Amino acid sequence: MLLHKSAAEPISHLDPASATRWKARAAAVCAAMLGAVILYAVGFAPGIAHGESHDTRHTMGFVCH
Amino acid sequence: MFARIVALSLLAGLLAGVVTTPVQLALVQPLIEEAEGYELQLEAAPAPAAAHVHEAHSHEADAAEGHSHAQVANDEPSEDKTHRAIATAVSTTLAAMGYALLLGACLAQFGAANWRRGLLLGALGFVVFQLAPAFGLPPEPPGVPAADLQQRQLWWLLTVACTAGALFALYRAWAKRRPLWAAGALALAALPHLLGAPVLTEVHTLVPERLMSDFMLAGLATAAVLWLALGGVLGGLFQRFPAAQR
Repeated sequence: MLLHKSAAEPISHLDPASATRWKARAAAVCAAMLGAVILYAVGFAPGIAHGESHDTRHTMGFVCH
Repeated sequence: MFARIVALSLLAGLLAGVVTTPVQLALVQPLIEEAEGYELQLEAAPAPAAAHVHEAHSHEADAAEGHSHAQVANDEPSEDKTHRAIATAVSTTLAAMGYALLLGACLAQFGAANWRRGLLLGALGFVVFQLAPAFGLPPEPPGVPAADLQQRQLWWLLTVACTAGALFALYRAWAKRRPLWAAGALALAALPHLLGAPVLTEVHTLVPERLMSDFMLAGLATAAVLWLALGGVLGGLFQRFPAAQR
């Protein structure tokens, strides 16, 4: 959609429905990335994170040891 | 939008953690403690037998490298049962929150969310993150030697990615009436299993097979409780607090 607009046209002219859709997608991607960071800490990180989440890792099928 | 997904997902993760933790402590924890009893017996066993088995575990390797037990203590679970139960409750809840954020990101793509749709997505999450990897690397109790850690982690990630991709492709195949896409999706889901999970050719352990199968079932049942609770609650929350129309 953006490609059909001229370079001089401001991005704010993107139709509101498309802009809302892209904002929703960006928000979802950011939320998913936050989730991935938390899951890395719980399921994959070495050191003290391994010791504290040891039993959860075994239970939830994360690869442990 | 981001704040709504994060807030509702963290709340759903907290509630799912509260529901799942007692199940984990009742079903799985006794099996972990039993398995650790066998692990200790193995450590006390004559050196040649134990050394072979513990090639894949940290204690012997660290001892061989000259580390003291105190130096590796941070890597191991606490010996204090209360501390351990609290750590498990916190980490299970954090795992639920992490999964909730992934589920919330998917659910936000649907126009109208409800608890039924959430439950369905929760069931699919169970298939992607628990069931599919369990075909190659089932939940195992402590004291069972396994193949190289990084290779298994990579296989786990590959399986999760391929299964999630396959389910999405199946959905698109159904929506656009493209049977060929469905065939491709099935091939994608099968790929990690055709490659094969990294496993040891020979496993020496004192942990009995009965305990291993009980542990696998208990682990999968606990994970199912987490995913279904998470999906249902998250779907209900998304329905109760819809996105603001702008």
